[in-house]
Amino acid sequence: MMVPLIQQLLQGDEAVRSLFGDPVRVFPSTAPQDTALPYATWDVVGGSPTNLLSERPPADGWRVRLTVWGKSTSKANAAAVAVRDAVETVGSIESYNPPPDDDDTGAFGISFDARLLQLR
Amino acid sequence: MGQVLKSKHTQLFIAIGAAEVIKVTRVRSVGFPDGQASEIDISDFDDDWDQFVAGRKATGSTSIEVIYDSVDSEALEELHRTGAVVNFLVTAPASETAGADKPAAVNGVITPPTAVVSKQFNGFVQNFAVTVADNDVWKATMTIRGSGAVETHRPTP
Repeated sequence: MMVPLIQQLLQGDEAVRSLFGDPVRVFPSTAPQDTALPYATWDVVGGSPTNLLSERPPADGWRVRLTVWGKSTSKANAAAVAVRDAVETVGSIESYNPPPDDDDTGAFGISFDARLLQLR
Repeated sequence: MGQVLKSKHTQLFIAIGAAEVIKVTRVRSVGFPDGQASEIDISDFDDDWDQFVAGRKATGSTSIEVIYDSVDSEALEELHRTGAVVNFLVTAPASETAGADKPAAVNGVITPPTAVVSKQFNGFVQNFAVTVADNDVWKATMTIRGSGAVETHRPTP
């Protein structure tokens, strides 16, 4: 798979669904206009396959940047914690990032990078 | 001029029995024991400068990194356990998309292929160290202590 498993991971998590709806309001790159809060977006910011000399790689590693948006600090935090906990069941958090620009929407954003390893 | 050799589809074979050869799977990197020559000082009192000739070559060690496999790594761990001196063969790729065919062995010595460059040496598995890092696959580094020279076999014209 050339797309990291973040979307299906979050869709499959009950705590994430309880906050982000079903299907979850999680989108690659950008969310549609007027998406209800909270929602999350993700981008691939790095990664590589586990290359071998004579066979195909058995696994792909991804670094995915997640940005979780909420109406307030506390609501964004609760949503981000649910995403973080879901990620940490199969991967790990690589970094916490500076708050993203809200483009005058008034929403509060939390950004962090996750590392996910997917066996082929 | 000859050909530059790509690393993709380079393969490592080990003779683990008189006529039994295994292909080491999931190899990430492979090396060869080096051979630092010792020096023999042949200077005499009349020389203004030291003079040397090459002495015996000290066979070195090399490391091979693999991704640990729940089944295939067993044979390598067994080689470490026994400490048996075995025959190793590293083959260059047969083409852009394939490695060399698995060779046979006679009396524990692998018969090198005639179509590709290969390097052959004897040695024993001195260490087999498995490492498990965060959010990664299990990896193992196998240290091979060489015994004797590394022979290079070139394709038959």
